[in-house]
Amino acid sequence: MSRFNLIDERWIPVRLTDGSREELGIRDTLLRSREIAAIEDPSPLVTAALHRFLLAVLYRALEGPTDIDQAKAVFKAGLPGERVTTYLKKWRDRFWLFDERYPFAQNRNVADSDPHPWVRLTAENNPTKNKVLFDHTTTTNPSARKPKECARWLVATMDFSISGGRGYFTSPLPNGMMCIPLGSDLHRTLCYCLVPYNNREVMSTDSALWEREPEALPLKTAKRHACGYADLYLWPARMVLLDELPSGEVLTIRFVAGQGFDESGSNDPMRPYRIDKTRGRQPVGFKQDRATWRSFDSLLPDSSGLAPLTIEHAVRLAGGAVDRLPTSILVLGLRYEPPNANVDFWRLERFALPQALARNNFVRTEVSELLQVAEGAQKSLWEGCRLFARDCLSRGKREPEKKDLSGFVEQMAVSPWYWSRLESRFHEVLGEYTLDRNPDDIRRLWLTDVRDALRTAWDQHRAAVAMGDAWTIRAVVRAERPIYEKTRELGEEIAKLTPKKEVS
Amino acid sequence: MSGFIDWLEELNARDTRVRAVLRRSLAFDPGEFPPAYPYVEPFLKDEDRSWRRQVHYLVAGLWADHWREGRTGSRRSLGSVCAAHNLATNSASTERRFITLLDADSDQLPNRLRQMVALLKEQAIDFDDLLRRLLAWNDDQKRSQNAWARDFYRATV
Repeated sequence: MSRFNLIDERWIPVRLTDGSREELGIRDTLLRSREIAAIEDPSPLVTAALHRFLLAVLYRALEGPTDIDQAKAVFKAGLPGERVTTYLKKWRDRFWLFDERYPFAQNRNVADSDPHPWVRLTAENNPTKNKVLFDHTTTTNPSARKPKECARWLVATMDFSISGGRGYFTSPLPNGMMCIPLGSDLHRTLCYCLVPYNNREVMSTDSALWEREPEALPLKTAKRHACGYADLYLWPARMVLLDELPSGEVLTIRFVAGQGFDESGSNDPMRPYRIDKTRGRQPVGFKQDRATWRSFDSLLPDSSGLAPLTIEHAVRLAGGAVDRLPTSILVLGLRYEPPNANVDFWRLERFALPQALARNNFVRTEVSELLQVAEGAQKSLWEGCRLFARDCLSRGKREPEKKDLSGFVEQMAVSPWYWSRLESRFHEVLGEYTLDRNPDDIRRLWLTDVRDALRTAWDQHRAAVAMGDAWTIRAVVRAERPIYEKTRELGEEIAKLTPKKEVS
Repeated sequence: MSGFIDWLEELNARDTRVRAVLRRSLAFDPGEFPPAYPYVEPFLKDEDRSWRRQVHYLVAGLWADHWREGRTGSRRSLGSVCAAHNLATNSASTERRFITLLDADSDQLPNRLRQMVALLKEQAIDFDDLLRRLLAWNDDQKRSQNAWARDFYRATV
């Protein structure tokens, strides 16, 4: 018997524009999108996956957009409720979470495989032997979960499966940043992300997972390309079947390897890319020792075409009007180190979008230059730390081993303090990038912040070690030169940018 | 110049025995050579703090030992003159002595300082700065040691 239809049942967590929270089905989420402020789940992976899933539904329901004019029409007039309702009515039978033939995003052909605890659906819940501090689930005997929770994790599994080898492929998204431009309501957010197909032909080849017959196992092709955005946004990286208990909850699932994703030539609209000298176009990912804001310029559109298409599209939809620009960008995703199939960390961060983007095509270059200034200053700081470490470890008699040096430098608090001081200021800078603000002014203030952060980071370090023995004092004094040179260099540039007072 | 070095210079101008007595006082713990009392005590009349009294006697002895008729050149901090001596002699031992001096505690300081000042007889030392730095020698932040180290290494690196 079919149970829990995702079109009607309440499973998508949303915050309404009046601040209250609800859970809605697919239809209400889309038709009431102007009343919804945002989709919000404690898991950033679920939040990201729900956006992608709803976009997949929209791409199929609207059969487009296939050009910017169609996209602008939807942005202005709202999501066409009748088309959405008609589509959902047509495919209603494919949205039952529990069904004898077509359980949503699942495959009955895996019914005979071994049962696994439901935690296998969640990338955040590592196996018992690799638990992270605040994860209290046990993978051997977890308690049963509600259908709505399993539905959320199911869509997240499709987007965020990671590979541990043994025939298990990754989803399209692991180790990549995902960028969702946020509007004043969910309608705007979805429109910003509804990047037009290249043409109608591409649209006509697209299909969504629920529209296709479940694959027979073993799969005919281990890896394939996505045939369109709807296909990409709910990718069957795993073949899953939920085991429904008499209570309606889920304790175990069937879980086997799914369809591998061929990344070559793919361009996920939500991802920023960079050009690698040897490997060409590569997605920008998270790094453990590098905060996201330091790569923020990679999210901003310019002529290179490397920024996320969602943000480019959002700027085009705004059409030069600041009040139509996204209010912020949500950047989220996870990081893991293959072949170890354990999540190292996941992130969810929010950034203001510079208003100047509405009419200034050079914002990316300008922001990139600001970030380069910060990186350059940090190199001086690092050099100072290296010299300090060298003289502490060896007193100048011999060059210490590289690994000893780098280990010493890594445990110094200098650079982390420097970056954390600049991070909060960077968020303010983004907010200051208005249409009428002089970019030289922003640069001057940023240079001042960088110089101050550089100086203060080193001063704090010096104060912390100055009480040490004479060799430590010697080490810190000998290490100061790169910091002072950089401080002087920044000071000279600040002076050039400082407006001269007119002499009457 | 601080009041104390001025005081010693004025005494020296009036009495040729001043420097000889104060120089001889270096053979004793600071403040333990009675013949030096008439030259230092009047300046310290209200000073009860032990370290400050010891430092004044020590600086007086070092000043006397270092004094040269007609010495020219601008007076510089001990860190700077050690750096100048290091550059002039290219001797590895100068830096070692300097480090050892920076590491000295209150008990070790007079002897190490005496040896260092003896080495620097060709340089013009700023004794006002020396006095000020020695008075702050036991500061938690080691400001005196850091300041001299900065003066030394900025000149030599």
